Amino acid sequence: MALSEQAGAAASFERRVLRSAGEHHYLRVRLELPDGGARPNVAQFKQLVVSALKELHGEVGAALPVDVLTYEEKTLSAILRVVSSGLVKLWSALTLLGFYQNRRCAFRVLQTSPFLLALAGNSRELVLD
Amino acid sequence: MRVSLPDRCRRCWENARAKGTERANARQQAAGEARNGRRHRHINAAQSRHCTGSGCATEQQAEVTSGHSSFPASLRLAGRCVSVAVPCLAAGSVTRARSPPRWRMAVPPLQRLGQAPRHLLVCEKGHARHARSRHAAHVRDHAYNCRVSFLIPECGLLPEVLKSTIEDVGEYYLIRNLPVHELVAHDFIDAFVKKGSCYALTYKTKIDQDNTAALLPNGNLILSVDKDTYEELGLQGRPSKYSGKKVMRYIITIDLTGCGFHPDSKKHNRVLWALKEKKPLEFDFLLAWYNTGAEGSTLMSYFSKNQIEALKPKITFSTLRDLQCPLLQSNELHGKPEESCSTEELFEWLGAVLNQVSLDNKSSSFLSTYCCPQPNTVVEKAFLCTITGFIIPEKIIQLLEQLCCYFGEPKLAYWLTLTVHGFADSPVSWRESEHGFHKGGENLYNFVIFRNLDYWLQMAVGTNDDCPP
Amino acid sequence: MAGFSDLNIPQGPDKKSMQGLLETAAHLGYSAVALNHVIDFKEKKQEIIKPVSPSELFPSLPVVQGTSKRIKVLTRLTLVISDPSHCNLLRSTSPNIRLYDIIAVFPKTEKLFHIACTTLDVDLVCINVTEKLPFYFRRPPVNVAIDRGIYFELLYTPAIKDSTMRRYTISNAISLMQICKGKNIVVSSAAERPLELRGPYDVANLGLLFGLSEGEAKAAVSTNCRAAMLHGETRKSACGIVYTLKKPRKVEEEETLPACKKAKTQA
Repeated sequence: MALSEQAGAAASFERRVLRSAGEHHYLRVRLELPDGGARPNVAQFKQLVVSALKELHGEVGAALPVDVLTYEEKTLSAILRVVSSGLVKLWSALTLLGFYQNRRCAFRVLQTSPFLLALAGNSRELVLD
Repeated sequence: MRVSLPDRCRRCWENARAKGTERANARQQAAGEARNGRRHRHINAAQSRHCTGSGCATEQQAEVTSGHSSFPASLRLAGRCVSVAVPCLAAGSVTRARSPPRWRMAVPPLQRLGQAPRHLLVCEKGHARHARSRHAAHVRDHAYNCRVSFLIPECGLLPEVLKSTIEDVGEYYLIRNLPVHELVAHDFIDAFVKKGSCYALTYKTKIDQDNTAALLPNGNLILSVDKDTYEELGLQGRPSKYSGKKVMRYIITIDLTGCGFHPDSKKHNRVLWALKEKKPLEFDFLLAWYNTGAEGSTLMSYFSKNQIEALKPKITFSTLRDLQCPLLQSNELHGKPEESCSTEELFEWLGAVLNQVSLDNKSSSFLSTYCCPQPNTVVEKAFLCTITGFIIPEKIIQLLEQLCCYFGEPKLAYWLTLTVHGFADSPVSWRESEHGFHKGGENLYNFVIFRNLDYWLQMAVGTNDDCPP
Repeated sequence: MAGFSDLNIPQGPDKKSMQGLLETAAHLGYSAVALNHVIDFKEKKQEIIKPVSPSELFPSLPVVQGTSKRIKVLTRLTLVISDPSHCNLLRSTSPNIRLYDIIAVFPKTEKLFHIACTTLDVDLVCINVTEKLPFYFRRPPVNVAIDRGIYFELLYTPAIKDSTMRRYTISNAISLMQICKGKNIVVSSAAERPLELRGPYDVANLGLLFGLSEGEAKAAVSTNCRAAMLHGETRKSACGIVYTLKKPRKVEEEETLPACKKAKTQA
């Protein structure tokens, strides 16, 4: 951290424009299960995501790097990270997943964004009043 | 031989002729192309673009169909269409050599699966005390903000000055079922719009589905309406940039403070008539007003007849323990390997911190492989404050100023960040550049302020947005 | 863009489960749904009943999430036709048929598909997604249908239920896209349970899998649905320009809408 001081003189103005350069996309999802019954822990949750990918897109789909960044077992909501080129594949796989352990289930994609920071402030979910 | 060609094909065909390519040449070229193994793309493009024609010569048909027997059955279904592909195939290659094709290349169905929506991230660096620094202008131009958060590493307790600045963020108002014509009434314009900065934005309306209205502090009222409403309103507007070929959304901009909008002017009367009688629009509005000095009536008393309530921004504080922070060097936006992190890495890291993502994972981890960018250092504690509400830029500038002053006294931290999230459903992002919602309506920016008052500014927008200023 | 709609919520006998479906649809952000009443002529004794009025079924409609409006409920009739004689019903101006907001047909053969696209007065043509296509889509009828403002309906619930059907759904959708170029497509659910419904943005993303472009996919759950609804409305009025409206107290009077209404139905 000491490095910024060595820089000394004020930085000159510089501007960079990154067009669709984000390597990853982020999805905030919630798994909906019928009341009662077992709730998946984080490892089972990840397994479910991978199996959904495999079911729709085969081995290549299952090999997509997907990260479960956060997972809350109580609400079954999670933040997923996927390489940008795999967004549509992951999203469609989650949409078409219909069963978890032979029980019906549904993935609700609450928000997607190329910026993880954007998931921290979703104005559509704000309740101001 | 040629019975009829569809319009587009004919265009290409004529194009080819203009280049002096006779039909025979075209066919030769086509064959040559096919040999070069480029045929798949062309046939694909031609097949989905140049449609309905009834076929050309049978010999050509044979030529092409034999070339792509590896196509899936669904593509081969329309045998007739393939025959049309040949002349354009040649013509297409002629035009391509000269300039990019005028039509959009048709994308084969499964190729779309690999495409991600467009987005932009603009990174700037500068010095906060530089005479020509535009960082405050960028804040001022981003009118509608729903959340402001700042993160100060190596800080356990907030200085009093900052605390009072946060408490001063000010209240805003929520008015239910307010007819839009009340915003163009001259009483309102004289009392508020002309005497300060008046901000209004419709609440609980979705920019990709509903009508939306917004009042900017420069006195422009922006209505983003769907086609039906636009036609019924009868006010002049322009088609939305992001509604595609069939225009389904229009943007109407009314300058409330312009010289042509005085009380008896034709324009004023027409706007009032349109909004009052032609198509009465009503919304829930978020309102905020900022004025320097001059006392006047307040929004609360002006709208006392309507359902109005004053709301306070929600403020939360938290202290993060043992936080991994990336090392940054203020003059290195790109970062230096082994020495400092780049601005994109910081942007992602900050997102991870604000979303409470765990930062120490291994690459072999099954769940997540995200880790804090290298090089980094562990900070014992960091202070995070989040303000949620309808926050006007003037207050954000004050806060930014106070955060710069934080470094007036010697501090352990080398930098701090200030993040501002915009409303996903506002009709504008920066200034008056149109904003839309495709799969997400992100428009946000983040300041990194360094100890020497250098700053980085990162502005991010999603698919339906202009480049930030 | 218009609000999101799901034009196919199968109408079941159970009121409670219907209510659950509507609530989920509203929660997911749909601003309009259509209750679908299916008539299959293969089964005997099929009579077209009067549509059940939604206000009767649901005294209080759920509020669409994130807005302050209530969900809009329409009625829809789907005729499964496997024989040309079944079409007579649509040609004869049966009073009960006219009461439905949207009329769809599910043609079983190529000939009937041709008739449905070119002559029948319908709003939607259902595409089979549960089995291998029984016939080829041909350009002429599809183009006529697009010109007439008729929309093709794809369902996604079968694709959730079963992997074989998923394959048929995608392959049939792609072969339709080859012909119609992504124009005039409506994607709807036919969900019988709340857990089979998917959010509008999820369905739009699914459209990419069917070979639609991003814009077309979003239109398939929003603007195209709106156009189909307006197309249905034109049946109840004279070319969508003039219609009669009963006003309380006053004597029945004629209401004239601006000519632009007609233009809207084409969009």
